[in-house]
Amino acid sequence: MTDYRLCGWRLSSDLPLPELPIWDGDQRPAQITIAHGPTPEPPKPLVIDGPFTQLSADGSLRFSLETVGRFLVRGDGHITVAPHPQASGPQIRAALFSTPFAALCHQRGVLPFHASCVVINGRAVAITGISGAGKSTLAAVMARRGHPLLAEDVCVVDCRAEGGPMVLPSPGRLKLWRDAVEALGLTADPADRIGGAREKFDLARIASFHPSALPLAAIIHLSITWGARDTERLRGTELMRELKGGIFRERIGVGLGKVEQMFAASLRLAALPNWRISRSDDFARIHALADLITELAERPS
Amino acid sequence: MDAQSVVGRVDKLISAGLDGELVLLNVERGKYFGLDTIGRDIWERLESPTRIADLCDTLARDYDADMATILGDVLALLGQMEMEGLISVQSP
Repeated sequence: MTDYRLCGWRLSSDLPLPELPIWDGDQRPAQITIAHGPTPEPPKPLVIDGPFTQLSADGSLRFSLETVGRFLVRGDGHITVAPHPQASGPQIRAALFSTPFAALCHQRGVLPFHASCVVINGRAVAITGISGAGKSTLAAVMARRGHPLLAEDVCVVDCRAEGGPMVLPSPGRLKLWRDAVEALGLTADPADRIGGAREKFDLARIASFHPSALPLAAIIHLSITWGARDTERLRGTELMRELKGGIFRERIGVGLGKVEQMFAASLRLAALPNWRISRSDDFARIHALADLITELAERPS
Repeated sequence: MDAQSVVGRVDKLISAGLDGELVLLNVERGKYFGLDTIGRDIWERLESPTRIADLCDTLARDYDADMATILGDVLALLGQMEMEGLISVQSP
């Protein structure tokens, strides 16, 4: 058993989690545990009954990936893992930090947001957008410019904090497709490969990760357009729709009865400057995009 | 739906003011709907079930507009709200 820090929680795990810092906090008991063990179907009635995810009305969730393994996340923060014998460590952890991690966040009242998060002059800036919009690639460009990362892929936000939404530090990883790795002038090293047929690599080694929570200063919503690049401030109902689309595994939050909390959290996020950048699907312009994001982060709200 | 129909808000809604709009979330459908200033005013007048003709009477008075225009605009808005599951409509 090793104790780690995840989003400020003390996590005690059987499974080695090299993406996480070792716990160096107080003597509190572990708030989350991960242990190998059986992963039976959660008790009926199920509020979600899908091919990969089952969520019970009692708040426990099972996530299964045939070639990777099964995860049972109980409402009290205990996670049981049954890995597939052929699954690699990075594959198991990639699965753990997807749906099971989202369930933990929703259960604990913090918002998992589908975004990367970079630190610009001490301020956290989240970059969201549909898969393929370039969240992680931009995070990699920002990391190479010396900006620490707070989150990649899933940005956990505590919207209940009094001074405004706080971004909690997430697992230190940076997942990129092979073409993005090569376009950044880096080498797609087989040792970084996450595995499976998908050519995805974890380039965490090129980034530094900010170790503690920071206030969220702005949210950038990336979208791809064939036309000219455009930047606009998002507001009102349109913004709320965009934010809702950015909640990671939102239906798990809904299944856990967190609709009102997610609504309240979204309103807190909507009070921040939210910018939509429509970018051209042209890799050569990613540095101009990084400049623009740096500029927007500095712009007063 | 016509002037004699009675309309009222459905129960499963949450709402908040944001950037001058009223943002409504239909909890069961998980969909947002936004109302501008006038839409919001109409929404506030539907706190209890109301006959559309009565609603339009007060709107025509308060906005100093003719009844036919008001009725047309109100029916269009209420039609949208019904489609989005925000109001229930009882026709006589």
